Amino acid sequence: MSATNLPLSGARLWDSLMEMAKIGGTPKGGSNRQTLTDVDAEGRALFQHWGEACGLTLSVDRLGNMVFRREGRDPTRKPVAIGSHLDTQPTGGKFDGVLGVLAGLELMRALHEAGAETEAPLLLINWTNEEGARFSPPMMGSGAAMGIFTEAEVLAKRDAAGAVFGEELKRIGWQGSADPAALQDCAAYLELHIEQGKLLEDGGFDVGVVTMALGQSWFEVVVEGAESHGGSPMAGRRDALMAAAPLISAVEEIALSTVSPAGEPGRGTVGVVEVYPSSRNVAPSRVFFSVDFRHGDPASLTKMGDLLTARAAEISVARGVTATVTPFWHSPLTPFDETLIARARASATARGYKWRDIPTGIGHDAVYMARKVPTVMVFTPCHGGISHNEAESITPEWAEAGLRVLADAAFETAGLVTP
Amino acid sequence: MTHNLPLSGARLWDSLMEMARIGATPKGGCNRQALTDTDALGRAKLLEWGKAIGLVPTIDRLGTIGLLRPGKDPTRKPVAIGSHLDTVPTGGKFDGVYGVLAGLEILRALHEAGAETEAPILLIDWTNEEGARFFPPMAASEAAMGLADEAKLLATQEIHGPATFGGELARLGLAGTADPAAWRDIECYFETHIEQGPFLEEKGAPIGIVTHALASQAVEVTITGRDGHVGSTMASRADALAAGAALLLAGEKIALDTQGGGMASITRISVTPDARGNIPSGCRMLGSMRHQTTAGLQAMLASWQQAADRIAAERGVGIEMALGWGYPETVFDPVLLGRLEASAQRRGLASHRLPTPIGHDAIHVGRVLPAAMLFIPCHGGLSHNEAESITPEWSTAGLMVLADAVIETAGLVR
Repeated sequence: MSATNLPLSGARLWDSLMEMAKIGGTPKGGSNRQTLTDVDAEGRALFQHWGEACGLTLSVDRLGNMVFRREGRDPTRKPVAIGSHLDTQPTGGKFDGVLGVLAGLELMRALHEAGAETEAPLLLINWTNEEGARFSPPMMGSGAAMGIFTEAEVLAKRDAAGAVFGEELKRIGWQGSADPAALQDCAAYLELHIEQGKLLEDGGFDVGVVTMALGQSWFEVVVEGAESHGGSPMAGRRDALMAAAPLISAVEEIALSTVSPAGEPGRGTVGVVEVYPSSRNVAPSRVFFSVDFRHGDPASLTKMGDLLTARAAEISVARGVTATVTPFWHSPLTPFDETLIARARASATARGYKWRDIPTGIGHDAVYMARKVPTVMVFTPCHGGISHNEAESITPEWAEAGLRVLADAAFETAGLVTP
Repeated sequence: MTHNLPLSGARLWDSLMEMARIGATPKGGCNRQALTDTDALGRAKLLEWGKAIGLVPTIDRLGTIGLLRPGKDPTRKPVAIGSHLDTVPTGGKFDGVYGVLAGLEILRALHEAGAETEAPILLIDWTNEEGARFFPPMAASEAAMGLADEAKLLATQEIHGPATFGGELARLGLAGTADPAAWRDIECYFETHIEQGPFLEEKGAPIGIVTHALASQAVEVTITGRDGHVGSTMASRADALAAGAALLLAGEKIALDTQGGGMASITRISVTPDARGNIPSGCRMLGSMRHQTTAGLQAMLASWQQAADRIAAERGVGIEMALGWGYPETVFDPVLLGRLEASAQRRGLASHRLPTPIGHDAIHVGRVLPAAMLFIPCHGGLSHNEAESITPEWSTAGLMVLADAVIETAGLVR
C-alpha cells in the first residue's frame, strides 16, 4: 500500500476543523479557546474522543501536553511525531494550530480505516499553551519538553488575573503524570500550520515547505531628551518622541532594505511603546519602545541590529537626545532537517502542487522541537496573511494539499507497511 | 509716571521659595496640582499673605480667589493682576506662581507705603490653569469670561480617577459663592509669567512684551490597522504605529516648513495590543498644532490632514484626526503693552516683543477685555519641569515693569 491509496479525506478534516471551531466560537467567526480555560478543556475532551475512536492511546504529561500513540510494527524504532496546538488567541481564528493537530488526526483516521500499519510508532501531539496569550511566553509545553524552560517555572507562571498555570492545569483536569522530556526521544517531528503571511497566497502556491525558523533579535530602545511645553518654539526642543519617530520608522526601513544574498528582506516591528511624562501639554522627555528583528540570514540579522544602533547614534546627534539600543533577547536561526525537507518537497512535486521553500518568521512548537529532534514544517496559505484574528481563513483545497504533503512525508519517515 | 514704592525683589523671591515648599518634589520642583490637598495649602498661604496686608478676599463658585485692594475712586473698576498657583505633576517653582506673587508684591509695597490708587487693584489666582488633573486647562478663566459653561466644568471628571471638579472643590472647602462672571467686571487685566521658551534668554532681554497668543488646536489621532504576528512578512502588514511614526514626522515637517513659525507636538501615544509579539493594530496619539494666526493654523491642520489621508492610503490603515480643545489667535491691548514697554525703556531693561505660543488665563481674559502679558526669561526655555529656573534679577525686572504699568493704569494718588 502506498500513501496515495490511504483514504485520507480533506472533507473529513474540514468537518472536524469546523466542529472544533464551535468550541469557544466567537460571534465574528473566530475562536477564543485560550489555554487552560474551560473551553480549552472542552476542546481537549473532543480531541480525546476523536483519537480514541480511531484506536489511539492517550498519555498526558505533567504540563498537560496530550500525546496519542499508535504502535508501529518495529518495537525498536523511535516514534515519528506529528503535532501542533489547539489553544488560540483571545480573538483567534479556526486554523492557527488546530489545522496541524487535526491533519495529524486525519492521518491516524485514514490508517485506522485502512487497517494499515507503520514500521515506526506514530505520535500525535497537542501542545499546551503554544499561543502564550494567557500565560507568557508562548510555546511553553514544547519548550519545557525540550528543556528550554524548566517544568517548575512553567507551572508557576501566572496570567494577568493572577491565576497560576499549575493550578489551572489541575482545575481543568488535564495534568497527567508522563514526563514531558520523553518527547525528546522521537525519530522525527512534523507540523502542518497556516503560513500567517501572504507569500504563498500572493505567489499562487498551494504549499510551502518550511526550511528554517528565522533568527530573531529583540532590542529595547530608550530615547531621552528634555520635557518642553507643547507650545515652545520648535528650535529649542529635545523632544524624545519626535526623535523616536524616525527611529521607529527606521525599524521598518532596515527590515525592508536588509536583503540577504538569497534576495530575502528581513522583518522589523515595534510592538510596545511608552512615553513619559505622558502629560497633555508636555512634549515627552523619555520614550521606551521594543524592537523585534527577524531574518533568514544570520549575517543580515546582525547587520539589522548594527544599522539600528548607528541610526540611533545619528538621531542622538542631530536632535540633541540620547537614544540607546540595548539587546534584550536573541534566538538563533533554526534550520529544519534536510532529509525531512526533501521528503516534503518530493511529495509536493509528485502530487503536482505549486510549492516553494519558505522560512518561518513566527515561533512554532516545531522550532523548539528542532533543537532536539529532526523536524520539518509544512505551510498552507491563508487569506491575506491574516492570523491571530477572527477573520483568519483558508480554503478546503489548501487544507487538503497540506494534509497530503504532511502525510506523505510522515509515512515515508515512519515507513508505511505494504501488506 | 514714576513712583517710589518700596517694591522688593528679595521679598518676592522669598515668597516664591516659601510657596515652592508646598508640594515640593525631591528634584526641586513642585507638584501642586489643582484641587488637591497641596493646592488647598497653597491657597491658604496666599489668603494668609493677603489678610496680612488687609486685602479683601472673594472666592467664586469655581474656587478662583480674588484679593481686592480698594481704590479712592468708587466709580472705577479694578485693575486686575492674575495668574495661577497650581502646577503640573512635575512642575517648577515659577510657572504661574511668579505672576501671582509678583502681583502680591505690588500690593505689599502699596500697603507698606500706605499708598492709595485711584482704581482698585485686584489680585486673581485662577483655579486649574494647568489642566493636568482636570481637562481642559484655563477653564476657570474661560468660564469667568463667559466662554465656557460653569455647570459642565463643575461636572468634569479627573483624567486619572473618579473625582469631579465640583466634588473636589467641595471636599477641600475651596468653593466660594461669588459669580465667576464677577471677574469680567474689571477695567483691564495684567499677567506676568515665565516665557517657557528660550527666546528672551538667548536675546539677553529680561523683559518680553507679549503681543498676542498663537492660535492653538489639540488633535486626537486614532489609527486603525490590522492585528498581525511580528514574524509575518512586511508586505502583509497594516502597522498602526509605523503609520503613527510617519504622521508624527509629517506633523513636525509641516511645523518646520510653515512660514512664521508653526509648532507641532505629540504628547501622548499608546498602541494596542501593546505586546512585543504583535504588530500594533491600533495607535492613539494626542497632539497639537499652533501658529501665529488662526488662518495659518487652519492651513497647517489642513496639511496634516492631507498627510494623514496619504499615509492612510499608502499603508492601508484608517486615520481619524479629531479636533479637540483650542483657542483662536488673541491680540493683547496695545495701550497696556505700550505702558509695559515704556517702563522697561525707562528702567533701562532690554525688552523684546514676542507672541505666546502657550495658553495662559490672560488669553481668555484678552478675548473679552483689555489685557496684557509680560514675560521674563527662564533658563533653557525649560518649563513644566522640576528643573525650571529663573534668576532673582529676572524676577525683579519683571516685577518692576509690571508694577509700573499697573500703577500707571490704576493711578497713584499723590
